[in-house]
Order: sequence, then structure tokens, then C-alpha cells
Amino acid sequence: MKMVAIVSLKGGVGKTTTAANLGAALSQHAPGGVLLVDCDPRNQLGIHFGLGCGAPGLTQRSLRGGSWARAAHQVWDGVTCLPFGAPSAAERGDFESLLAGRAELLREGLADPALERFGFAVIDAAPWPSQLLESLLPLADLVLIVLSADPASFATLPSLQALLQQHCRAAAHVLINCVDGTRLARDVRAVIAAQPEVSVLPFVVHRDQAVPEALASERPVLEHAPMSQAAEDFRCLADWVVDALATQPGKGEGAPARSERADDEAAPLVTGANQ
Amino acid sequence: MTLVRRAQQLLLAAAAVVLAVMGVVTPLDATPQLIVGGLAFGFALLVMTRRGRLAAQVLTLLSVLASSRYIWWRLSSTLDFDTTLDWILGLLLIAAELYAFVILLLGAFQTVHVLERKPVPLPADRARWPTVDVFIPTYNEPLDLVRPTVLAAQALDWPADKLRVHLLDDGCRAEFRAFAVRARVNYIVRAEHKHAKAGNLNHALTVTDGELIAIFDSDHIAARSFLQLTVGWFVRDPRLGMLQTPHHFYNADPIERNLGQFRRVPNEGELFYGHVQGGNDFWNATFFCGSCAIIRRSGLAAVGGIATGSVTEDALTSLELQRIGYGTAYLNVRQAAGLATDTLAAHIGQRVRWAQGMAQILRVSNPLFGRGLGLGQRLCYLNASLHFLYGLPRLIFLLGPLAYLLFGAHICAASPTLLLAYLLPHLCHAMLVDAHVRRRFRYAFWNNIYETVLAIYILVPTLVALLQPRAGVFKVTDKGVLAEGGFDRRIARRYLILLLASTAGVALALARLILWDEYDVGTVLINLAWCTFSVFTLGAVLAVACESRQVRRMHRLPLTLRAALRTTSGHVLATKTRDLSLGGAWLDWTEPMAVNEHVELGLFVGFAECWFPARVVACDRGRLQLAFAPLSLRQESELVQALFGRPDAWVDWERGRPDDQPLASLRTLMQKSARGIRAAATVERRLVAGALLAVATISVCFLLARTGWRVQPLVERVSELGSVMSDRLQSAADVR
Repeated sequence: MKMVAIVSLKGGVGKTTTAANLGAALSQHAPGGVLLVDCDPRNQLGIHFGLGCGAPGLTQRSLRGGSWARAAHQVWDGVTCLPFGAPSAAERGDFESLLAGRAELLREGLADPALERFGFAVIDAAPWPSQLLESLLPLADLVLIVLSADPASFATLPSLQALLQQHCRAAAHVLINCVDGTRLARDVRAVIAAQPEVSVLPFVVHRDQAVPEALASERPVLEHAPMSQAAEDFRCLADWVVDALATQPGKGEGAPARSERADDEAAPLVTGANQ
Repeated sequence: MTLVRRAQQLLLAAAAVVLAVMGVVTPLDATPQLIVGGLAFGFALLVMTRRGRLAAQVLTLLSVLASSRYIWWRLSSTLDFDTTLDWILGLLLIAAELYAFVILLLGAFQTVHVLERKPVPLPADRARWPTVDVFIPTYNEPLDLVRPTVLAAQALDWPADKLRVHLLDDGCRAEFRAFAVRARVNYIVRAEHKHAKAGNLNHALTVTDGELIAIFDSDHIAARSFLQLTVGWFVRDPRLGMLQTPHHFYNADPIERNLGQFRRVPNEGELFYGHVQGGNDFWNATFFCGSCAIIRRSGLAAVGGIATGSVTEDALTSLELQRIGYGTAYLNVRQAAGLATDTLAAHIGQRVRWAQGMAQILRVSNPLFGRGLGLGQRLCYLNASLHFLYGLPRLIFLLGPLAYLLFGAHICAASPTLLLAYLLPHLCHAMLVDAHVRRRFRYAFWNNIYETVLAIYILVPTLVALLQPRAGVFKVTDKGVLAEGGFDRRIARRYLILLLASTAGVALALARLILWDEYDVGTVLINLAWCTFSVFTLGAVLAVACESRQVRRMHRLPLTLRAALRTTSGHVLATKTRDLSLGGAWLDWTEPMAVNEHVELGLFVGFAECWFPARVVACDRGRLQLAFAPLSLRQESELVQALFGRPDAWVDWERGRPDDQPLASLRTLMQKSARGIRAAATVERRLVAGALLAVATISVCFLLARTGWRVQPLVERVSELGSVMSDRLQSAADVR
């Protein structure tokens, strides 16, 4: 299983949206399906597929023991979502202390054979700075940092450098989101691209009304508005991710696992989004 | 040892020469000559299957031998005439044939090795990159035409401190000055206006100081990579004086447009820029063509600036550079594109100027005997100059058959069979060479059309230029006169007269065949075929004069770019352009869209994207038509970049075009020819009717003259023929 972590340094740049839509677009490339992992305590990834907020997630599984796969739901054709779960205040405290004690918690949770069969895992990462983010970054094969094409993104550039230096083992790339035709957006893009030691993807995701509309209809943009530029951008991103993962030297595990779906008895995956 | 080897080589060469000479001069009868010719042709067909330089050279050699043999035979055995008329017409014909033979030899020499020069990378150290002045001379062109040229020049990939763009306005127009100020380019005017473009450039030389000078005509829009690809050669070779790149045109020239063959058939310029200039380059005889070129300032200074002794100042300038030992280069990468002339009249006017200029060069700065040139350079320039004298020979070839058909003159004293035995190898081998060597640059029979269109118009100006080289520009016509259906009567009149004469020739040939001359059927048949070919050529030329004119202010380029359309609702839809111009775009489109809706069009070029405000003009059948709203200067520059600035903009211009297929070319041109004759006959009814009447009268007079002005024998002959025909038909029916 190849893991792609989607990271942001400030709110509102479209990290979760990117994770959801990238997952949908990647499913076209992954015979084993794509696993979306919500590692953001705000627990919003499932919303993009109409997964209710109340469903238990990886926090509950970690605290009560048992396979993470039991909390995963197939939410779209070829896409399975593992929500963070909506922990109570006490649960959150417990989870954090558990995590502080066991740095390998995430690795072990994802090492479930029922989850390993997915070709790709797209991780909606925790906000920065946080313990959770630091513990999940080393797991990723590829890190995508989402920035929006607005001046506030400049402010995050120093923290971006720090983050990359301290925690990123894998290749990290910047994806610029919400690009429109304005001069400002283009200049911001140019300035970010000119930063040393930052690899900026050669394409962007455009600001497109189809994206919020897709969220409102609880479907990925790919399905809601397949002809839209945003859908085109996410397809392009998925193509690029597949290429990047195929060409980079992996962790020694070779090609993504390609086991068939049917041979799985451990995880009774709940099919259907709403329950 | 080396001496022995040298001697061996000399001996071999001498033997080859002796063999070749013997092959050329040995007389043969018709049958053996045909057999030898057929064998050589079969060998050539085998060689045809091989691509590559050696095959081309072998084919060229065979063609030269076949043609030499023909010409030798013509000179030695066929110039035996009876009457004065025969002598005059016969000598005219052999003179035209000799001219064509010399051009064939010079052409073979010129392109014996086509140098396919590749770009040289620039040094990594930018300090070594030379400073470049870009000159854009203009005189009376509209600003709309010049704006993209200036914006593209400004966007050239080159260090900003080493690039200066100058707008050389010989028209001293206020709007040009204002534009130059807004676009932040240097604006240069001069007090007097001597020597037209050459004078304009020379004046600009005095107020600039860059090491290199890139020259673009006011409509030649450069790709951003122009300097990156060309300047490397100047850095590598400090004695390189001039580098030329091809002139590419993104709209149809009148011939392409009127024959409906735009991008399907190589146009007139492609042979020169695709093939001949590469050949020139091998001999260091590249011609400067006035635009899309770079010249070294020190070289220009050494020859006293752009030459002013000819109306083709450009070619003369490169000749002068080569005289004092500068190198010249031709780089066949299309890095700029311009507009071809709009009308046939303008096309002819431009070519007449070239023809006249090259003829002037022959007198003003004789390349054959002047100082400083190598043999290769001399012959290349000689070919270029002589080539434009084709006016008279073309006419002679067109009207040649009339000598016999109309006047009964025997202009080639040989039996028809022997003539064919010598002529066919000469023609067929020449065609084979063209089909092999020029297969991508000029299709069979098209040369005939391109030259015949001009022949009758360049005849007088080239002669005047030869006799009085300093007479100045010979203006043919500024404007054509368009008749109904766009037929340019004024331009076409001369072709039409030639066509009527040739048609009369065909009619006479048929009459001769049927009514008399049955003892010399071969001669009549040869002349009939020849005359029919003239009719075919002139018909196609008349089709060129049918101006199927589509006036479009902005020429659309078929161009598939990734694009996106942002609507006022904030939705962005991914699509592709079908074609694009500086005024608007056609997109692939399936959604309903209201006319006049305001949108933003995003174009993705490589990794860059740019957005333009636009308005919906039409939306139907899977297409959306947009017109750009007024653009800011920056947006206009970006649009120019998207359209013309891409380094690969013109790379696959002729993609999908097959290599030459002579028979297909012939078929196409025959259809066009029929169309041209029909159009001409419709528009010029009176002239045609009069001519037909005249032909009929002359024919009858001829017949009567032969019968001693008695009608009786004529009637007998006709009835006799009638009975012969009916007998034949009867016997044919019996057999069946």
C-alpha cells in the first residue's frame, strides 16, 4: 500500500477536499481500491461522501482494540473511507496519551491485512503542528502540501520549510489550490514556485464552483461534474501521483498490493455511505 | 603510397568522365536508344526505393546524363532547318531548352549536398551571450499587423539587459509612436526616406550598438525561442556574418487559397526554404531573405550596411558579406511566422520585385566574375539570378506546339519516334529526381503552375532589369480588379489569351489529324499532346485567378490547446480549443450557453496558463465561438505568446501530408484546370466567343487555302472521311 499524505499549514486551503477528490480520482488507477484515512480530529473527510459524522472511527478502534478495518466503509466505487471518528473530549484525551506513549500506533493500525490490500492510501493529515501529524508523516511515501493561491499562504512558507526539514522523510511537493484567472493568484503562484527547496507541482487546482456544489451533493467532483476543470485537475493530480509513486524508490515493498477484493474475511466492510 | 593512391583516383575520375562523355555523345537509333533509356529508367526506379543522400545523388546523376544526352542530340542532329521561319522558331526553342538544361545543371549542383544544420547550444556562462538589437522595420502596414510582432519580439527568451527591440517606423505615424511608448520598445524614425527598407535599417544601425541584429518584417511574429536556437552559432563561429531561418506563413497564399490546397500541397516557398537554402548553406552561399534572420553588426559595418544596389537588398547584402569572407548559415527551424500576400495581384507584384532584384544583382554585382567568391557561391547565386529569367522560356514551352500546328514550321528536325526516344528519358528522369529529392517540398506538376502564373508578368521586368539595372522598381499592379465570383479579369486576361491560342492549337491539331497530314501523324500527335498540356497548365493558372476571397481580419490557426472556460457563475469547464486567433476562439463544447454571455477563457500552454475576458458569439453543434473582449497590453502579449510564441508552434505544420504522388498531383490539377477554364469562359464570354469564331474562320481559311480556294475537294475529303469512319464502325460492329 502506497501512502500519500495531504498536509496543510493553515485552514481553509482545501486539504480535506483535495484528499477526498484525489482518492476518488486515484481509484481509477488502483485495482485494489483506494483507502481514505481521516487523520484530522475535525473528522470531515467522510462528509464528502455523505458518511455521517457519528460513525466510529480509528480513535474508537485504537482505544477499544480491534481491527481498524472494522471501522472502514466503502463510500464510493473503489473508495473506502476510514473516518477519524467523533471522539468525546475524554476519548480525545485518551487517544492523545495513547499516541504519545506508542509512536507506532498509526503504523500498526494501518498494517492490518484487510487494509494492506488497498493499492493506495490517501491520508487527510492532522493540522500542523500536532503530535498526530508528526507521527504520521514518516509513514507517507509521498507528501502533498496544499496551499491556496492567496497572499496568506506566504505567511506559512517558513513553517513549511521547518516541517519539511524536521519530519519529512518522503518526497514532499506543494500543490496550489483555488487558482483563478486573477493576476494576484498568478503572482502568488510564481512567488511560491520561486522558493528554494520547495518542489511545486507543475499544475494547479482551479477555483471552481463545481467543488462546493459537489460537496453539497455529497459526491466527488469527478462524479458530480466530470467535465469541470476541477475534475480535470484532480484527474491530472492522480495521474501525477501514480507516476511519482511508480518512479520513486519505495520502502522496499515493490508494487502496490494487488490482492482481490473478495478474499477478505477479517473486515466486514460496511457498504453504502449513510447508515 | 599516397601518390599512387592519388594517381589511381585521378585515373578513375578520368575514366568516369570519358565514359560519361561517351554515354552522352554516342548517337543511337530509336530502338536501341529506347532500350538504353528504359534500362536506365528501370535502374533509377530501383534506386528510388532507397531514401537518403546517396540515392538522391545517383538519381540526379542519371538525370543529368539523360538530359545531357538529349541536349547533345538536339544540338548535333536536329538543327537542320529548311525555311527561315523554321530557323527562327527552331532556334528559339533550342535556346529555351538550353536555358532549362543550364538551370537543371545548376540546380543539381546547388543541392548536391543539403546541409541540415542543427542548432548549437548557448554557452552556460550568460556573460558570453551577445547583445541583440531586434529591428522591426515598417512603412505603411497597419498597426494591428505590427503589434503582435513587437510584443513577440519583447517576449523573446533572452537576458533583458542584452535585448533591445526597435520599431523602425518609416511612416512616422503618431499611433506607432504611442504604441512603442506603451509597449516600452525603442521607436526610431528618420528625417529622409531614401532606399526604402534598406535605408530604414541602415539608419537604425547608426543609433544602436548591439553585437547582433535580428530582423523581422513587420508581420513576422517570432517564437520566444528564436534567439535561443539561433545565436549559438554566432557564439561558436566568430566569422559567422548572417544566419537565416525559414519564412513560414500561417495563412494561405493566393495560389493555395484559390486552388483550395492550403497545407495539403507544399507551397511555392517550401522548396526554397526546405531544400534549396540547405544546399546553398553547404556552399556557404545562404541567401539573406530580409526577415527572420540575424546579422552580425561588425559584418554589416564591413560591407557598408544593408546593400542598396538592388530592389532585393537582402540577397545582395549576403553576397557582399560572403565576398569579404564572412560565413553564412541557414538553420531550417521555423521560429517565426508571417502573413502571405492577400491577392494574386499582390503575390505577382512581390515575385516580380524579387525577379527584378535578382536580375539586377546579375548586372550590379556579378556573382559569376566578381571578386572574392568561391566556385560554389558563384554558381548558387548564378542559379538564383538566372532562375528568375524563366519568363521567356516558359512562354516558348507553352506556345511551342503552335509553331507547327499554326504555321506548319518544323522546329525539330527529327522523326517523331527518335524525338520521343531521346525526350522521354530526359523528362522522366527529371520527374523521378523531383519525386525523390523534392518529394516533401514540391509536388509534381506544381512547379509548372507556380512558374506559369508568374512567367508572363516577370518577362518584361527582368529584361528591363538586365538591360538597365539601375532603372528602379517596376510596378506591375497594386490592385487586382475582381469580377463576379471573384475572378480577377485584369490579371487573368493574359493567361486567357494564351489559353485561347493553345486551344486553337488543339483544334488545329485535331483538324490536321482528321483532314490532312495523315502522312505525318506522329508529329501531329506529339504536338497535340504538348498543346493539350499547355491548355491544362493554363487552365490551372486561370483557376488561380479565381479569387475565392475570404476577408478575415484575424487569421484563425487550427490549434488544439488545453483550455478552460469560467462562467459568471464561477463554474470552470475544461475543454480544448479547435482554433484560435488574436480575435477569438472556437472551443469544443457541449453545454448550452447564451449568446453574449461574458466569460473568461483560460489557455494552458505548457505549465503556464493565462486568462482572457471574452464574449460568447455562437454556440452550436458541439462548438462554442468566442470573441475576446478588449485586452490589456499584457493580455494581448500573452495571447500572442499562446498563439505564436510556442517554440513548437510550427513544427508539425505539414503533419499528415503524404510525400509526392505525381499521379495524384496530376489528377488534382486537372480538376482545378477544368474549373479554371469553366470560370474563365463564364466571365469572359465575349472574348471566348470571339476567339472561337476567329479560330473557326482561320481553320476554314486554312483548309480552303490548301485546296486552292475550292470547296469541292474539301467536301469530297469530308465525305470520304465519313465513309471511312462508317466502314470502320460497321466492321467493328461485325466483329462484335
